[in-house]
Amino acid sequence: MHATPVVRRGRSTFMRRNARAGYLLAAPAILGFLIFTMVPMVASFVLSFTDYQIINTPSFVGWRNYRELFDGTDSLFFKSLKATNYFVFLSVPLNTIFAFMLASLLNRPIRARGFFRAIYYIPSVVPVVAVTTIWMWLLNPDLGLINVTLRKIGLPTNKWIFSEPTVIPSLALMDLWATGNIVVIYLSGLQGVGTHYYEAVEVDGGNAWHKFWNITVPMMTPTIFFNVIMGFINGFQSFAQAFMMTQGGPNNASLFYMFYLYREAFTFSKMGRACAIAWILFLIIGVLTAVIFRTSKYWVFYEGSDER
Amino acid sequence: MKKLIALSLVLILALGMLPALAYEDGAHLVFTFWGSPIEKEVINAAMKDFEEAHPGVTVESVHVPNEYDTKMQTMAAAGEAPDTCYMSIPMAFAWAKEGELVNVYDRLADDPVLSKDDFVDGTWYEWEEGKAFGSIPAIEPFGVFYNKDMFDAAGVEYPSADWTWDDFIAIAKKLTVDASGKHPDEEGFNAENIVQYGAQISTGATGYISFVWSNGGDYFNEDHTKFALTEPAATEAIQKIADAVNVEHVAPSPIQAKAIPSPVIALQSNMVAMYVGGQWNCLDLGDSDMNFDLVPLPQMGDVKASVMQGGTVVTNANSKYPDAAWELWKWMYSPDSVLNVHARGLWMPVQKAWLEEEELLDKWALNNKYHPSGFKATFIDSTLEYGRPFMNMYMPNFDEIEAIVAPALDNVWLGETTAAEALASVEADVNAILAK
Repeated sequence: MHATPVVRRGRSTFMRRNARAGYLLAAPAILGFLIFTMVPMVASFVLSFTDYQIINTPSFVGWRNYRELFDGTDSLFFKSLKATNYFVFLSVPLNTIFAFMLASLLNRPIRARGFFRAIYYIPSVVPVVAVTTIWMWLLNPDLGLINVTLRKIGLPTNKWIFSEPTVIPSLALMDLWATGNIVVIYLSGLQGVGTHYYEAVEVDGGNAWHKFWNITVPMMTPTIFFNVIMGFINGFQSFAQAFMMTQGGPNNASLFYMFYLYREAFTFSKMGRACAIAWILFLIIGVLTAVIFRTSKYWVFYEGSDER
Repeated sequence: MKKLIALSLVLILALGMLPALAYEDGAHLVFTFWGSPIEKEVINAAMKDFEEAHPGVTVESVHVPNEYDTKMQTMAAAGEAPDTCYMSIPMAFAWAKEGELVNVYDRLADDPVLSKDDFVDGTWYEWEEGKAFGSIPAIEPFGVFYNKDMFDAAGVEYPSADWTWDDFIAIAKKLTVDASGKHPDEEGFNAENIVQYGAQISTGATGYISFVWSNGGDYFNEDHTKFALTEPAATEAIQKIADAVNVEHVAPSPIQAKAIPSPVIALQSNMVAMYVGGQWNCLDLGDSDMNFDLVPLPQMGDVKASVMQGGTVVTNANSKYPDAAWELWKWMYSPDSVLNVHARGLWMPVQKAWLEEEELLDKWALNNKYHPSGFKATFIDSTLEYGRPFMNMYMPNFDEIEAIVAPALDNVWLGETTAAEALASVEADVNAILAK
């Protein structure tokens, strides 16, 4: 009986030691977060209210950086928002549908399935710089493979990334090509759908469409939900296409938000304003994600939950 | 014996005349620069020479091939800004205003060797009246490079220095050929399938501004308070350049130009007969050993003007070794010490003597494969006689204005809108920046 306190004490020493080891092991991650994420974030928030140009001592200017963006003093801010929104709202749905379809096909018991899965995943392994270079050639209106093929079969050609109306759709098309990462996530999701559901549909006399619409899609909504959110976050941060391929042109039609931010910061040395631009993006992404989360209860179905 | 006495006397005299060192002993300088592999090689060698000529000084030569401004900013943020360095113009203006750069006028006023008047007039980057952070160690004016063999093959006479824009278009037409061998003014010419272009024109502001000036226009009004590219003389010049592509079909559009690897390869591979471009192309053309020559830009109107522009070299006002850093500034502006960048056609000197005196010209610009016979008239004479500073020399935030104007012109070069429309669409935005 009297041994109990000893045990308790022993256990608490053990716990304490355990906790210490735990904190120690987690320290790199925690410190990394504090030093490389938290501190810069706070700093950038403070700097967004200054006229910081790196070389000068920052002085507070209140809301000026934000005001100048919204009152049209900087005419490019809204253009970049427009271009980015166009791209995001075009490419995210396209990507979602395309990747989902592709994953469904790759999930079927076709011949050489592993081979096809590898083929579709390969573009995701290619570095962005290489991807953009390849597509610059493919989309070249004169010599590019796409236009040459169109010309050969007698279809009208296109100026692709070199024309104001088509540059964003072209970049969205290019995005589809490198969709392998999303396909993999969908594939794993599809493999998690229990076969007994499909058997139930068969027993009830349902066809392939019923299986897809009533089983596959609802069961996949959590995966779709995840991919849509990641798609929006990544979409708003698109940079390489504008930086490498179009320099934001023609006529600012592909002036992606991040490219605009980068240019303000590192070409025009307007760090204070660039910080403000970054925080606005943070807010936009935050609000958008919140909206998607809020609506998710209406369309995302979790197995084992009654809610729908 | 007499000789020995004389010799020692001379030595004593010489020692007595030796001035105290004009720089800090043991100075360690950091020098940063951008540029091609050849520029890197030449500049690194020049730094070695500098160390030899300045015993007791060491130079850390840092080549930053790309993202130069970003690198500068991070170095500055870390308190490790270089002592003397290349600098992009907008950044130099910003730094100078914060008091980070040396006013070279002050230094030049006291310098025993170099004076302000040794430089070509109008090449000083002044951030305030009487305060300049640098000049243009490499003036880069524009001219017309042409492949003589292509002219010979087509039986076309070489252009003469007093030609007009119309002459230019007429010659370019003779040298433009489609896949079936037809010229643009012939029946059945297929503009979609051109195999050889008469001309290629660089459509950046540095490229088109000389034509705008020649036509009597300008980028800004006289006191630089209003956007002036919208004036008819300027609009017409820009429209004519766009028309060379989209109406006359003698030059590749920006899209078609994407398929042309570089001006040099274009000229060398008979894709383009005449290239309207900057002086620095002499290096690559000279190295290619092709048969090329130069001719001044064709006159679009009556005004004679040639653009003076280029990067700059500045000295850090907070350098630990200000005198040694100043010596290095002078070194970079002295063609003798960086002779190879000049002799190989990459840079054109900014010191007047090097553009005027035969024996100095002989060291870099005469009788070598990088500088063909037309070089002097095209670049040197035009600069000395009617050189005109590029807008970024007097407008510190010119890059910001260009970020608005250049995208608007994209559609003009593509032939999708007119110069008048495109420029009018950005007039208010540009004037708003000017009003700030």
